[in-house]
Amino acid sequence: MKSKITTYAFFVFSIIAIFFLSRFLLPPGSYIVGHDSGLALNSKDFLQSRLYAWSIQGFGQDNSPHFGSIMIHFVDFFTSKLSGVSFAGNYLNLFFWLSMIFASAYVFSNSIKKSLGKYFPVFFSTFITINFFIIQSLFILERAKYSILVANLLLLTVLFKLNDKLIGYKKAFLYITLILFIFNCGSWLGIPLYGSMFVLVSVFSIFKIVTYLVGKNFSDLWRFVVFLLSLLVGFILINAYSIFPYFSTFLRGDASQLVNPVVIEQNKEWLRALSQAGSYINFFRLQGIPDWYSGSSGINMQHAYAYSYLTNPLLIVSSFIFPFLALGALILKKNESKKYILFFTAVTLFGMFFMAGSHGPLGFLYEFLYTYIPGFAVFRSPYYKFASAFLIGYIGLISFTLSSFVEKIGSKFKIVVILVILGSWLAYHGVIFDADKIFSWQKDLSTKVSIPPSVLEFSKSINDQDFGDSRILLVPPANQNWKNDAYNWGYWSLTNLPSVVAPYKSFLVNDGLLSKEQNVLVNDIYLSIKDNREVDFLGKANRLGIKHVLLRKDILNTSDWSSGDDLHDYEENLSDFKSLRVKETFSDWILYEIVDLFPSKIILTNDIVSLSSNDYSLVNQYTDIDQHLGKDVVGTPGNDFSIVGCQSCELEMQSPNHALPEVTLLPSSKLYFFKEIKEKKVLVASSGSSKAFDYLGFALRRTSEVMAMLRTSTEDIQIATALKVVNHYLNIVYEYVKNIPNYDKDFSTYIRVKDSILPIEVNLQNQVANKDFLMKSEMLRNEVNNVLWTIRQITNLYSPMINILDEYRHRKIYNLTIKLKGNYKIHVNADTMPFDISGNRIFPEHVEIYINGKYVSLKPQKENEGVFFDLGLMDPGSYESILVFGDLPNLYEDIGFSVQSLPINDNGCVAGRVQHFNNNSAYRVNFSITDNTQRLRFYVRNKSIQQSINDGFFKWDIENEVDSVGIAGEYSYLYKPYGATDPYVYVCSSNNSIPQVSNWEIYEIFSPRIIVEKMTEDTIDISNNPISYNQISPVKYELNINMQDPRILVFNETFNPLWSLRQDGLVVETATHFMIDGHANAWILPEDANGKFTIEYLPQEAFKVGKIITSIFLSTMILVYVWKFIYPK
Amino acid sequence: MKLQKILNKRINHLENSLFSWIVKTPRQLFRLFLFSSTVLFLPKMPYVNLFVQKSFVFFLILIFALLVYKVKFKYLLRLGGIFTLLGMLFVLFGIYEAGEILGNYLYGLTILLFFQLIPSVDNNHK
Repeated sequence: MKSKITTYAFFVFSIIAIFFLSRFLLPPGSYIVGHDSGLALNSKDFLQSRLYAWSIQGFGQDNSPHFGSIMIHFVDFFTSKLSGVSFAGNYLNLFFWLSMIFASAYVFSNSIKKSLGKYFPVFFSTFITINFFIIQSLFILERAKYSILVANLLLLTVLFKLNDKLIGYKKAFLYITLILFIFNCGSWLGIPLYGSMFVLVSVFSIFKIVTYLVGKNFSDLWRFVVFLLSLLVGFILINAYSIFPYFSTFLRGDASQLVNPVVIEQNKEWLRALSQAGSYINFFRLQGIPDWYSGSSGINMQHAYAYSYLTNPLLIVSSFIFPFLALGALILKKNESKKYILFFTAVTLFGMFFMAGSHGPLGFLYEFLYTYIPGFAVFRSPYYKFASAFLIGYIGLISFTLSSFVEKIGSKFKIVVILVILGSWLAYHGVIFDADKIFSWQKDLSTKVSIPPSVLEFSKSINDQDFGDSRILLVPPANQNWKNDAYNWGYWSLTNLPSVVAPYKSFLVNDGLLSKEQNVLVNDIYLSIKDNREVDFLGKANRLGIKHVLLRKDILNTSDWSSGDDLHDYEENLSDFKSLRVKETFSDWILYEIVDLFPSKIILTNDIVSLSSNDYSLVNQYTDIDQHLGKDVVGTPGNDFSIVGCQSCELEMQSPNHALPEVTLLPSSKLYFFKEIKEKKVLVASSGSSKAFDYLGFALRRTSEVMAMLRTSTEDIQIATALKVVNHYLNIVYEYVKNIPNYDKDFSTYIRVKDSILPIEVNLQNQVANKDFLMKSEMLRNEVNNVLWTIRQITNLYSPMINILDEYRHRKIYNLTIKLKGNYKIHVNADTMPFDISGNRIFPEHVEIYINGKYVSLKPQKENEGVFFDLGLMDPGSYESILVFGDLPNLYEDIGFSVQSLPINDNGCVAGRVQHFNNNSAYRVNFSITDNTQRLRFYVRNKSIQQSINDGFFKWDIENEVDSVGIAGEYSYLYKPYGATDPYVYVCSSNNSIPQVSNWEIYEIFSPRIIVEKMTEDTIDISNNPISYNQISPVKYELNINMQDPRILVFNETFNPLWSLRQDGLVVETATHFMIDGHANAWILPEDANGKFTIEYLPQEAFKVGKIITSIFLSTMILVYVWKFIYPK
Repeated sequence: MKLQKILNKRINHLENSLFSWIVKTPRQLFRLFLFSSTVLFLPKMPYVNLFVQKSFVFFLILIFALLVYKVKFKYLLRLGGIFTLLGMLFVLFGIYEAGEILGNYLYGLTILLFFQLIPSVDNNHK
């Protein structure tokens, strides 16, 4: 009795202690927000938004995987309500989860204390609650992780009771399904968290099955298997509300990702990165948390406390007490405790294997499972997914040792010893009392923040207003690289702050929610603000459904790595825009309204934009604002545009590549047979042009094998045989090229062919030039010559193209494809034109078009930002067109001689600068070497880099050896700037003498894009609004269509095939659903489409069905439970 | 001279013990030889060497050696203790890789301990 009271007193005391700890860590006014915690600042609305399968944030997102998180967000809401705030990251939420972990651990350990000792629960529940797995996750309060840990502990309690026959299968089924209903992994994207449950249930099942098999107890074995299967069914039924909606999304997308070998291979790098610190020695020490490390044993210096735990000798020694204690359990085991010790040991071993991921020595097994077991690829962050099983096993062993130890000492000292042990554990994990550290996730960045009043004011005001279905543009834009939202008062998250303050309003910012196409659209509108183009801004706002702009002046605007764009330009220009009025001000936040603009999410149009959205901005410069691509063009068919790239320019941009691919297996190996089989399979499977390029690729690889064999002195006959195959393959390529119509003008094929044959040619020519080649057998030499001859034949096919290489600088060649007869114009935009020496753009002098067997020359006509050529009436067909430019200037500006410090000695350098530099172009740098006795090096560096930060030496971006000794001639280098702003070129000698070079030339290599416009005269007069609609919910819109032309219905939300157009509740099968503008939904309406329609998101229907199944199943279970409670027998 | 005599005596004793062990347990020796040579050969085999790492080979050899010699439970435990202690010293002095290898052996030992525990579990959890 006394023991019971003590036990309960310990429980109550611990819960109170957890309460005070939570309050201490998150005192009033401080909350956990940001990062990727999903801790909303308006927990009520956020919970409600989780009841819909579609989120309206950005351009809209599928929300169907997240229904399971209703449980977790309900706790968020409930605790926020209790604590009197709207924030989910409050201290009561922290208290709830920590106390749930403690309580479930206590329930579990208490249920087996008869076998493991009466002090077992004291240690087990404390250690499970406070350890680095938990501490590391506190900064974002990983509720899903805690929820699964709680579920694991309660599940084991039931399973152990079942094993001890304290309850039957039916009761166990009832309890377990209820546990798995309440405590889940949140969103189904968190399904890997069930990994730990898989380990626990597997170990338990293996024990049971082996026991039944050894005892030849097949009837019980059958019952147990049925029980496991029924648990699976029960799990699906009770969680039907969250499984059903996600099912269709899963089948359409995520399932294929899980088994896609390319995705698996890409994610393997992530797996390896996260497994770097997953060594067994770390796990034995209850460490190995990936966040702590940089590499396999390096320390993440950004981590707030990893350094102390990984370097402090006292803490290192302390951490090695754990393996001793765990081994102690194996010594101290007794008959009644053996089965549990065995279970804990098995769970520990299994858990460690999975937690280690791809880390040796058994990492290859994990990678095997990861690659070949369908679905296993979800476990790409192994530590986080399996650690909770390991903790239960390992802490079980440690707690048993300590409990046994305490039982062995005299009763007088028991309490003292227990307190010392618990105190030592807490002292070792002392960082839990340091809120500055546990909520910090990077130097100077913490998730524990005080929310400024302006955010609260904004929340209150905006939630009371009706914005319809319009969007609010957030200004300034997010950091381009990180796509994060960061504020100078501490908030940092990948989720934008306003969306967690007002989840029912749609906020648009260039964050990670947007697709590539959507990002282009949003970045375009930011540019229009930044460049002060109001008319352009209005057009874009209309198309993107933006009615309001929220300027946030407290955005992190330093030179920090995650800072947003510069605030100043946006602030100034927005206040200048006449069409904007300040609607409300919340301290640092200003809400603007666009007056007289009423954007519509659902429109009718005739215009299908088939261009890549990357080209919108280019094309829009030639259209009126109301005809902009990507804009609402109700009833006004837009002109047909196409962008044509320069074909010959690719050739100018080519840098010669002589490298052969690496090979590991040579024809001399017995295993080469397998490689040949694979090669044959590929060649048989491919067809058309890809077959020719496959032959080319294999010829290249086989040449690499030949070179390796030549280096390793393989017998000549083997090398000659390999060369014969190379020659055969090249002959096939030759025949293919010869049969291409106009092959001598096919630039793209030539570039691909050249890329492969040049390395073969250069490497074999080097062999021929080597004097040892004469020692080779005649057979081998003949084969080399044969290959070189075939290459020459291929090259000769392209000689008309190659012989005029220099002309391409002035003559840019295009291939115009006209599909429909009509009047056409070619627009040449200034952006892609080169500069003359005064900094003005150079435009083409004329264009030559090959029509009816002759070149027709057209003169340019001026327009806003460039020139255009009027082609007149054109018939369908393919036309070679040449933009002809006059003289192009030498952009070299002499800087003179200087002596630069390099690591070996001081070197004399002559330098020059690129005038009117354009980092979208490439540059050809030429100079003559006038002294062939000097060793020269060529450097390019950006002006902003003056010296190396570390040592003060001359710092360069590009360094090239100039082949000058013994050769007085021309040197040429193709410079492609990557991120340079003002590049300088240098030629340096090997000492402080002046490099003898002359005739410097720098020419811009540019690639103009031309816009071909088909002129259209047709117009449709729209006198009535053809469509009216009403948003019922984020997943349902009702619309009324009262005209039949135009017939393209645009629904401006992210395209998803699960959106359906319905009439009278039935899907309109005749309306083709397709993606428009590169991101939105559209339907081609049938001719008889008129009247009332709805647009609905299908997973919401599945949620309704799932909800009913869950409710029925849950009510039945509760009724059965109550029945059993009232009538036990 | 006396020392030489003692040494000779010890060496004789060692040779005799080894000989008698070989005579008594030829099968284990054969197994050990077979397994070790297979395991040593694995990392040299083409393709297999892509995933069988050296650390795994040593790990297997150690575990197998302990199995072949039927090392008793208590000795395994002591060995585990020694590995932990040495691992601690290595980590303490920054020789982390050595500590990691010992951690791997400790893991292997725990597997052996687990298997040695199984037969002693009574059947009361049927």
